[in-house]
Amino acid sequence: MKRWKNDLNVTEAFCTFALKNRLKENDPLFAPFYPEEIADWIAELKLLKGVPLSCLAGDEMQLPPESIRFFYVDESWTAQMINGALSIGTHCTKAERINNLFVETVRTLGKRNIRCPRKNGIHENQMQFYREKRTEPTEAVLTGFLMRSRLVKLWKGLESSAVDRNGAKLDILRMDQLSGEIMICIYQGEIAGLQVKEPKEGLRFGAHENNRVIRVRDVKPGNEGAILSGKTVQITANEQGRADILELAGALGEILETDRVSSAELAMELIVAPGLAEFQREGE
Amino acid sequence: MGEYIEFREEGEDYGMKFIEKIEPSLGSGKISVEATQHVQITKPGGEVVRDELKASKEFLVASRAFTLDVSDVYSVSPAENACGNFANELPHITLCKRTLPWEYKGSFGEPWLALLPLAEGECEERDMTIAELKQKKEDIYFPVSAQPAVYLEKDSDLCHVIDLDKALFQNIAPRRVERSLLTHGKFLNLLQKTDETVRLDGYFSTVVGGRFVPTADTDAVKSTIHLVSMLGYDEPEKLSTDHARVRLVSLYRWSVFSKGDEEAGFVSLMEGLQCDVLRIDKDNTLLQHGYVPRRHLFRSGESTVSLYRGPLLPFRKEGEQAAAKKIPVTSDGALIFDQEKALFDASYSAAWQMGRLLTLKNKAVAAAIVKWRKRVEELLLKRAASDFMDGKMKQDYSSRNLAEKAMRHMLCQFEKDQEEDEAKGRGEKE
Repeated sequence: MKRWKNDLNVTEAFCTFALKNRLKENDPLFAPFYPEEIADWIAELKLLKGVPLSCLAGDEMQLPPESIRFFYVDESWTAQMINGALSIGTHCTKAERINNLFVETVRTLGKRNIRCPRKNGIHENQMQFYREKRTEPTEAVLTGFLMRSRLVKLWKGLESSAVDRNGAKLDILRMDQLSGEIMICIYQGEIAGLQVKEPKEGLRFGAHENNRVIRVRDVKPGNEGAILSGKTVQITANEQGRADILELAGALGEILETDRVSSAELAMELIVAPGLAEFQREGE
Repeated sequence: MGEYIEFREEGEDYGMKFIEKIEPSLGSGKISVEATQHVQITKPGGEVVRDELKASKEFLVASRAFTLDVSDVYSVSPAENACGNFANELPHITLCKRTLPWEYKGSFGEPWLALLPLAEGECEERDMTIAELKQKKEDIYFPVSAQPAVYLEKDSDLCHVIDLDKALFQNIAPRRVERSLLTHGKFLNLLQKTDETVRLDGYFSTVVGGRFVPTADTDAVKSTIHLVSMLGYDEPEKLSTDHARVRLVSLYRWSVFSKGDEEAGFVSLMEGLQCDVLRIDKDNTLLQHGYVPRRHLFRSGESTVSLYRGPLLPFRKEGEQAAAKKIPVTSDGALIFDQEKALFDASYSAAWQMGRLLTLKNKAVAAAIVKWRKRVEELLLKRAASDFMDGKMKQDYSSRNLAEKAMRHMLCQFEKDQEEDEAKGRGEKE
């Protein structure tokens, strides 16, 4: 008599047995079977790329006009997204079982490649500015902010930098304009403080804010541009708006301890430092 | 070139250098070159003969004195026709021609250009020929004698002039020393800009205005910012003339609109931002935790209101939830029913569906996932079989027996594992 067995069960048995007995998560034999393509995609999902705004904030009241909202990325949510991604082409229990066996590994891959979606897009000219901070993928909680403001529309090229509670700079993993006025930014690590800066390419001359005060910068070689703390000069102007440049140059000369302020030095002082806004988490 | 200084801020290098002045190697006007050659020959008898040959040539160096080539302008700030609050901004113009502000000089050697922002109505503008400009006028002051003798334009060429009140001019025009301070050269790193810009050598000159852009509190004021020639107006405050009005040559001009209450300032907009975590701040625990009620349509056709929370939490939650560890077969498998509140929580169900839909949209990745799973399966089979070959089944080596025994063993193992898993699962629940 001929006999036959259902292949499905044999496969599953093999899977389980192999996994229990010898297969480790980082078995080198398996490495080529996790294409980078999948790892990068999982990282993109973890960074919520492509998730529509209505799913990010379920109600408009969570993000009213002219507001900034800080958040933690829900790991369970993204894990469930990855489950959904793996469900593609799962037609039988065998595939399901493989998914369940490897989902943990796939998630780890996403964590490993979490920087890639941004890093892969950086232009080679900009790579010289790119510095990677080494953090253990396990400890990296993802936090960030959503900003809804006219600022996003008016200031193309806003810059942001965040620090954790120890003052260490956090890496930007994603910074995207979701719509005309809405921007999302996700960092690796827990934000304790945030600085949002005006783009530095649009330099202007003049006083900073309404009181026409400039913060004096150092001009000594090697220390150029450093703000001399506490040293400010007010630009005076007559009723027609003519700024008294001579008086300004005199006042600057006193602070900078030179007899003669050159036009180059004056330009340095008059450049409006890109605007900067700071946010701090309470209790820090 | 004068002294220069690099612009940095908080240690960040902007790739920008300021240079005090970049003067042309030849001034403008009539220049003469003289060459002398000394010849000395010693004759056989020891007699020395000397001779001297001389030659001289004259040439003119001229540049534009009444007009400006538009292509010499690199950028202006505030931008042309810009609207905003520029009350605290000194306008500036950046010129591609690095020596331009020093090509002609006032009688004290200061640059000949100045930037004058004038509100609408403060001056009258018109075009006239250079010949007409140079004629003496009864009703208006123009320093004809101070104009350069040599210039590039023809007398029939048109130039743009502005006429304004002498008192106003004296009030707003930069003083002699100020003009040197308000003019500088700069060197820029252009490598990150367009192809067109990269062709430039990186040296520019900048003229900064000495007057803040005229601004009113409520209505936008239109101002025209003129780049003017200051030849003949070395010391505007000491200008001795009976004329009530003065005339200036405007080489280049652009308009801006400035309004005092325009809250376009970066810092003021930033300060206006309402800062919070992502939630609706109302006296409700669910809302405080980021949940919102949403209409929920079931596959079976019923509808209800369920809770939804997106991936962005207003608080820190450690790790991945246990529920996410076993993959649900459909999105409904990730629905959570809250017995206390008798509400469904559809958050993770939506997440599952979102992951699936996004991945389906990305065909390349969807295909890669299916392919990957197939290869994992193949590999696992191979590994398991080789385990048997190496270990338990070595002695009884017969291909037919091996296959049979391997299968039987695998199945036993599989069933045992399943039982163990179930037992474990029960244990966890208890």
